[in-house]
Amino acid sequence: MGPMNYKKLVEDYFEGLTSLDEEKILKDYLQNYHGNDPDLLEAQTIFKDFRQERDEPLNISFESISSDQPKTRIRRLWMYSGSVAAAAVLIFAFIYLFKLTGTPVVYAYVNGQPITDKELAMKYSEQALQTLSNPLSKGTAQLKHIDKLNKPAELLTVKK
Amino acid sequence: MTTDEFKTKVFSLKDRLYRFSKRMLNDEVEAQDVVQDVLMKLWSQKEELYKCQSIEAFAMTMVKNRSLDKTRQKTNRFAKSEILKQQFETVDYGNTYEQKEMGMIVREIIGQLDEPQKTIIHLRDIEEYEFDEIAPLVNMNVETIRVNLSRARKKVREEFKNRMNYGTNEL
Repeated sequence: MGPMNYKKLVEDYFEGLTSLDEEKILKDYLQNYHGNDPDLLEAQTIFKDFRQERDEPLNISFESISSDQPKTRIRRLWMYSGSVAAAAVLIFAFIYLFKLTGTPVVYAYVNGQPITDKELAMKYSEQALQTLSNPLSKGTAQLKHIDKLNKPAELLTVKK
Repeated sequence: MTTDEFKTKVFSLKDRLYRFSKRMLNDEVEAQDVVQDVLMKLWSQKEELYKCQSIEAFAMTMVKNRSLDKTRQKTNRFAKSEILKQQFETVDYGNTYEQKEMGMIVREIIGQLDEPQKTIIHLRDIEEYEFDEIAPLVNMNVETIRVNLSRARKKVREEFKNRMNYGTNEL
């Protein structure tokens, strides 16, 4: 078959008029075509891709589809259980780390120093409150004369 | 059906089923899932398979239906993002020539054909099916298939020429 016949075959191919046998002849010819006819080169490129695509395999094993437990379900189950497990591990790790490195409770500050012992903090607090209450009790002693102000009627009577 | 028969008659179709699903879904991982599901289903029904006139046609129909289901789910869920993606890909053609092989461009063009042209050109040109083998898979008669095949091939040729000219003009 000459090049012109192959060109005609290419045109028939695009019209959908070729049989599978004719298409095979055309594909075989174009696989080793080294000419420069644009129509044949164009068809050569298209057929080359068809051939490449046909060579792409699916890599799955027979065991993956013949086992009783569907693989996809297993995979989904693993995904869910894995997510739950990961979340649990993170929570426990967070709690554990917090316990290890967590800062102690500060009950009071004395002269800028934190007091983390509860008993000691209590003593400091009592001491501070006592110190504060002493001058207050002294201060009220000076206010005893103020009672007279509560009896204005008696004062007026004396002047009479 | 024995295990050996299943391997010979059904499992050997895996590559063909995968290519078909991948063509419909444009997604390798989802196509793999579809084929795996279909093969597992067929394995679970292996005792009934002798009733099928053509196991290959039956398996291809199952793959087609499952792929269509996946496409619908995908369209519903990601309609907007898919449209945006397609628009992006369309815009991106100009600078892909240096990176992609010519063959990849042809594959991309076929992937963008409308149904049933995409399925028909795939079954004919990749899987080399006869017209009467394609007919039950697309529910069409041979003449309609021939017309659709011709339109699909011409579109591929035309789009291929356009892109090549565009690529040349760019340079």
